[in-house]
Amino acid sequence: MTLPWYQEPSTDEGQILSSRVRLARNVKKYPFKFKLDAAGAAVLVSETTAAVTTGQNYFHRLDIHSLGQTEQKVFLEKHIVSPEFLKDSLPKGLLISESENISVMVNEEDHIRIQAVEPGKNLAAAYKMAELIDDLIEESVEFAFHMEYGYLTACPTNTGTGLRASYMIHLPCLDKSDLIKTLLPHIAKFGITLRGIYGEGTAPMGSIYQISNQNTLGKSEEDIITGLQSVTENVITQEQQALEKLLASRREYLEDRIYRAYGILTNSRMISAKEAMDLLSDIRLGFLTDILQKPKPSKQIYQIMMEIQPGHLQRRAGEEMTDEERDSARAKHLRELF
Amino acid sequence: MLCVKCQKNPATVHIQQFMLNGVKTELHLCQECTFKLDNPEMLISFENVFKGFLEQMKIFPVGAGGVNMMTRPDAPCSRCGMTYNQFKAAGKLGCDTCYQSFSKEVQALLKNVQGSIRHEGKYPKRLGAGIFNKRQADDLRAQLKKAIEEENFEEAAKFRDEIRALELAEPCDKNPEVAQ
Repeated sequence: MTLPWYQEPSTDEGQILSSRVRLARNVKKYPFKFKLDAAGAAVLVSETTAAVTTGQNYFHRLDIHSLGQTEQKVFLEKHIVSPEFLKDSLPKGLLISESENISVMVNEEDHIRIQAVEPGKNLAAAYKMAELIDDLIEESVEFAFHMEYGYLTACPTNTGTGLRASYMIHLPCLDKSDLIKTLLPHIAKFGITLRGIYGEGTAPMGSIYQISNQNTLGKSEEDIITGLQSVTENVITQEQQALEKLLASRREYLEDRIYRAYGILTNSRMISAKEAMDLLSDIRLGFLTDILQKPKPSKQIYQIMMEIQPGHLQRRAGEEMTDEERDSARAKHLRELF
Repeated sequence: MLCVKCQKNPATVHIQQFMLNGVKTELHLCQECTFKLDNPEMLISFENVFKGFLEQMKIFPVGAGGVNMMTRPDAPCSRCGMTYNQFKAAGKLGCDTCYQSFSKEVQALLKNVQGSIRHEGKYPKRLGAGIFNKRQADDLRAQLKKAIEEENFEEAAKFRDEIRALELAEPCDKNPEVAQ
């Protein structure tokens, strides 16, 4: 049995938790999703599924519409599907590899969205996997492609390579000191953007950010990835400098914050997702800096961060829960882990 | 400041997004509204900013000397029937042919949103090597023209030979359908 990628220790080894790549593709013979009817969408699902699964059973096939709301939420929280994917009632296809590191969504905003994720810092490996799936599908499907513009997508913001590369990064010191805001305009100059853990339009939780390329056209895949890498390295240097400054001038404050976080997580009886995420962020920093001299939990912090989200908690409980019930289940789960 | 969504709780989450074209958007929310993942569309997104850009284009057409070059708003795409107005409202195109049907607008958009109109990345393998040769030949032709203008005939002859070699190697219009 292959372990899910987020159980790998490398998600907890530095500022970068994971590396993710997404490729957007459309099939030439069908109109884009906006103009696609249910019958066309259904054929597209079966054709794409056949193209991906040809000659192997590496992927699990799922019908997202037949899953309950809780299961759908779990997939959202794991970043396997996007909110856009769950929006409408068109037939959808979802293929997931056993370790959940590769997934293919059919009939998201574009016909095909290929996703690959690697623990820690390894964008090149993630891209390589996504590209393999891309080539595999292309063997039996003709993509919408333009000589000048490259791969054509429903939204011109994805045209060209259709590539969105991103790192999930932990920036506790920049976040707490509000330095993060001053960083945004600088990285925007390089066509790079920073979002909260749950993507476009969501606020950051637990000082976890997604850093990704904004532009998909005019640069090769390799250049996009290298560009993102170098901007990210810069951001991480800033984070490390902020940490060093804090360690040099206010070490006791930092120790206090980390041990308080540990105290609350190991003792609270009710806790919201937001509070738990922020405390887990402090704990993660505590382990990274060796300030926190306590046994490490049996799971990676990033995995715990996912497990305390509403969908995951609800699935664990096996029933619908009120907000208060969830807060108490969350506190209990965290006490058991730490 | 109150949350712009519920107008009840104080706004504690401030989201800013900076775009390449200098557009900055801000949103002020309370924590409760921010974490309502079930309704992500209520929050600001890149897409909304992009739609705002489409609106801007209407007021300031991106043409030389301010010449209005917009497609008729009700003219449909020859393949899927999408109109420019629909595209503007949805922020999404209806099919691959829309890129041609609204070519001027799409090109202006790509230039502004993406900062480029020339794909430099991967090609579908089924297009074959011919596509690389055509691209390369185009580049060489531009260099040839420049060399002639600069009266650098030695260089020009070199470019001319290279173009010939490419043209002989493989016909360029193997896929006239995908070629513009």
